[in-house]
This record gives sequence, C-alpha cells and structure tokens, in this order.
Amino acid sequence: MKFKCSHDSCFPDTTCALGHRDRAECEHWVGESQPPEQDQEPAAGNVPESTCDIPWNGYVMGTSDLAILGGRGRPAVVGLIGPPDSGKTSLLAYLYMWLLEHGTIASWSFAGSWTLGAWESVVQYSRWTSEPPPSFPPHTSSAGRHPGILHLSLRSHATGRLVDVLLTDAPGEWFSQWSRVPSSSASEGARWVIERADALLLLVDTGALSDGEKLPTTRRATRDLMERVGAQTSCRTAVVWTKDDTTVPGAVAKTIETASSEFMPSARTMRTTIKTPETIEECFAWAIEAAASRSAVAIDAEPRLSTDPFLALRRSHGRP
Amino acid sequence: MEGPDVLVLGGSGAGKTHYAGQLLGRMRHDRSGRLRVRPGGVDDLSKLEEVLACLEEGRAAGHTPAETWTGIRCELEADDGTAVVLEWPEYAGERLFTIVDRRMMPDEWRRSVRSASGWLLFIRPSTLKLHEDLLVRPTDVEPQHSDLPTATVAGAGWDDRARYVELLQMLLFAAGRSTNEPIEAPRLAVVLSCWDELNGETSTAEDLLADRLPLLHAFIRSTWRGSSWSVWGLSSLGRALRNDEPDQDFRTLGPENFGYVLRPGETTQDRDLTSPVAWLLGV
Repeated sequence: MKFKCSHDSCFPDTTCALGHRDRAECEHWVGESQPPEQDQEPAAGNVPESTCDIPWNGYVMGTSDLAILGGRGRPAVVGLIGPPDSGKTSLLAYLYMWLLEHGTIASWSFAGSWTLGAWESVVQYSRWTSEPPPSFPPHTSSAGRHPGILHLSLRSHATGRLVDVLLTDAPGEWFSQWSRVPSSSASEGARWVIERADALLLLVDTGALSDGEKLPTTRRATRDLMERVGAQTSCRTAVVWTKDDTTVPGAVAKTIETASSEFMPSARTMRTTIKTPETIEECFAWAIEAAASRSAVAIDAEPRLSTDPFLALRRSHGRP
Repeated sequence: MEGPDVLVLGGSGAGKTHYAGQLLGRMRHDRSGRLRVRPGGVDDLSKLEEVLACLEEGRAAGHTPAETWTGIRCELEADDGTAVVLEWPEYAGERLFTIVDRRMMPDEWRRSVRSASGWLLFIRPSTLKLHEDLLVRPTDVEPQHSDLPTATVAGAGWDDRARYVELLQMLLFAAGRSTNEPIEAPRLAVVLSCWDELNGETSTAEDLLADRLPLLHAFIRSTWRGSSWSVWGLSSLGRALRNDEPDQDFRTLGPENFGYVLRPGETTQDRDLTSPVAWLLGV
C-alpha cells in the first residue's frame, strides 16, 4: 500500500494544508493499492512518497503557494515584463547577488525569503565555481502556464513595517503573445502578472536594439508591449533600459521613447547596467517602494479604553 | 525540561563540543565568571567525558558521533546568587543542517526550539562556504547566457549566507514565532568561533558578521529586537590543539586557564567564557 494526499491544495514537499502534523490523521491521506508483486516489497510499506514539516519548499512559488503569505498581509507584487532575452532573470540574479553582499536595498533591510533555493538556483550560473566561467542565467522556459514567483520579506528602516514582496519571473514569449492577443489562452501567465502587479518594470533590451539583426523584432515587440500595458494597467510602471552600456542609434531610441511617452505617459524611465550594479539596486528600490505603497493596508487600530484585561475585550466600544 | 535552557546551534566542526567542555570547566573550577556550577550540580559528567579528558591532556577532542543527542543538566548560580538550571544539548553538528537539506524537523529539535529561552548560534568564520559571483568579481568579457539546462540547487549546495538564514527561518517557524514585529524571545547570541584562526582580526564580532554574512546580519537585525540579540567572538581554547600531540601548557596549567570571548562591541579579550550563556539567560 502506498499513501498519498488527495487534497487539491496539498503538496508532498510542504506541510498538510489542513494543519495535521501527522498526515496519517487526515481524511485525505489515502492508500493506493499496488500491483501484487510490489506489495510484497518491504520498502513499499506505509512510507509516504515524501513529506515535509515546513510549509515552504524553498523554491519558486506557484500561484497555489501564495496562501501561506496571506496570513500576515497583502504581498506587494512586482512584475518584470519584456520581450525574450531582455534581461528579466538576469536582473533578478543581480538583485539577489546585491542582497547577499549588502543585506539591504535602499531603505529596506532583508528580513527573510521563502524561496532561497530558487534565488540560489538563479545565481548558480553567475558564480565563480569551476568551469564554465560565470554567465547570465539560461533562457527562462516558456513551459507551464503560471509565472515562477520569487519571494522577499523586507523591513523598512524608516517605519519598521514588514512587507512581503513577490517578484515574477516569466518568459518573454508570454508577453509577446499577450501583446498580440491579450485574451488568448496562451497569454494566461502574462495576464496573471499584468493583472496582479502593484508595480511593473517593463524592460527594454538596449543590446538588441543596437544589433541591426535583432532590431526590427525587438522594436516591434517593445512598442506592442508598451501599447498594451498603457491601455490595460493602471499600476505604477517604469521603463527600464537594460544593458545600458551599449549605445542605441539615436533614431531607434527616439522611436521607443516616443512610444513610451505616448502609451505610458506617467511611466518613469530608468537605465541599468551590470557595470554599475547600483543602477540595478535603484531600479528595484523604486519598484519595491511603489508596490509596497500600493499594497499597504491602513490598520484601523482599536482604541484602548482600559488596562483591565476584562475591559480589553475587543469589541466596538468607543469607536466612532 | 525544567528551568531555562539554551539551544546550541552549530554545524559540524563549529566548536560546540570544545566550548561545552571549556564552559563546564570554567563553571566548575574558575569561580570568577558570571556563572558557576553549584558543587555537585552536574547530573552526569560522563556525557562530556571524552572532551574533558582530552582537554586535561592538552589534546583536541574527536568528532561527536552522529547518533548522539544528550542533554547535560547543570545547576548554576549567578554572581547575585540567582539559581539557574541549564540544559545543554550535545549532538553531532551535521544533524543541524540536515533540517535544511531534508526539510524535516525531528521531534527533539521541535521540543528544543519551543522550550529554549535562548539560542546560541555557532558560526566558524574560517570554514564558511561563500561563493564569489559576477557582482563582486565581474568578468573581463561580456557574460553570455548559460546554455546549460535550468536546474535547482539542493540545500547542501547553497551559499552559507542563505543556508544560515533558511535554518533560522525554519527554527522560528517550528518555535511558533511570528516575525511580523521584531521578536524578543528567544534571545539569540551569535558566536563567531575559533576567533584565534582569524589572524589578528581587529574588528568587533558584529562587524565581522556584517562583513562576511551580510544577508544573515540583515535578517537577524530585521527579525530580533535590538536588545534581544548579540554577536560574540569566541576562542574556546585560545589556540589550536592537535589530536595526536598534547599541548604542554594545557597539560600543566589546566584548560580553565585558556580561551577567551570578545564581548559585543568590544575588541579586547575577556577570559570569562560563561558570559554569552549568562547573557542569554539574563543573569
């Protein structure tokens, strides 16, 4: 007999969604008969496939994993969008490398992450370990339907407020498809990002725009995306020119700037280059501040009318 | 488990066992420290038999066997006469990071993290696994995108800056502590061990932690209230001992005359090895 959980929200590498310490006590923990020859093997026994005592597995979150964050407030979602190879995952890798080295982003101090394994996986290619030499992360696979979500908890130096930040890492092909046909089923992952983001970083691939061969495709993909984002979202957005150490011909830059000002007039413009990592920190500092201010929930504090524990019962006494 | 107790956290080779032996020696034979063992106040000395014998002979103790998990119970008294019961766990260091690697919290750990009034985290700076990356050491040429297949890195392959954070996060979860607001309990003392290996390091222990493990330093600062955590430098033996060749000074003078701590914010050596534990216990 082999046991597994039949509950939709339960996963073998996190804790029981219904709170059972011992999964055997849960009604959804059911046995499946095995072929007779396997039943004879002692290893099959009553051993679960795998289980875990911690409700996060350390790797990228899927949309089903977000419930564990809801208990302490609404997370701030930062969406990274852009054509393929515009540098979304590389920018995230630099964010984590910055945190490893500094522990802070502007006025936010690192306060934890439930996806440390995912961050470590993103930066593994950028480390001096052995051959091959360090590189940018591989192209993000467009398989699947929901974005990989990376998590950071940050505490504000100024207010002491703790904010959970979710950063999306999705393939550029999704956004190209979404900008062509936003309602198509193939755009589901991109829609998830666009609709839930509290702040968007729209990446412009300076390297591709300065490459005559890639220019037509990249210019079109970038302008199409700007038009859609401008029309369909109201969240705070920054246009981020990545790989800013390369020079884009003036006429090409002008076409992108025109599209940006026409379709996204309130978007902020930023430029990043790995040669000056502070530009990347500044970019995320803006995004986190923008997303956190939108996700902030004003807490209506109960008035304290007495120090007597009996009278401290939380009701509506004394409220206007 | 009776009375306040200390949960000792440290990976393999972090120096927990030598500190336990030296701490006990200090508390029994050197009555000038902040904590002293009441005469006859150790329930079972045999649990630290090997390390105590080795230190008396001026030799390094062996590795704690992987299956060992023993609690050493000591009845202590502080300078002001306060009586304290200390429950000191002793276990093989590799068991600690098994929690991160296997993502399982054995019952003995769960009980300890819930009941302990203070956590003593041992980190040995000279053995940290820290990776250099493109941020701190750029390449001379423009990096390309890797053509390797996307793969996840298992816990054992993580940089130690992330590994220690994950460990504390998991222990805080098991202890049932919300970190929405900075916490006051359990108190946390980070001990940077084998300080004598750092070749004349002149910074404070906290500055060294911030320099070597910025991510962990930021995590602790964000999670604990300022008065509820501290960073100490520690050299339990004051020098490196060998397994095979006795140190004559140790043999002659006795182990209680060796070892020192650097108190939080200070750079001078203080020979009272009991002070990190006294601070954790609030005495």
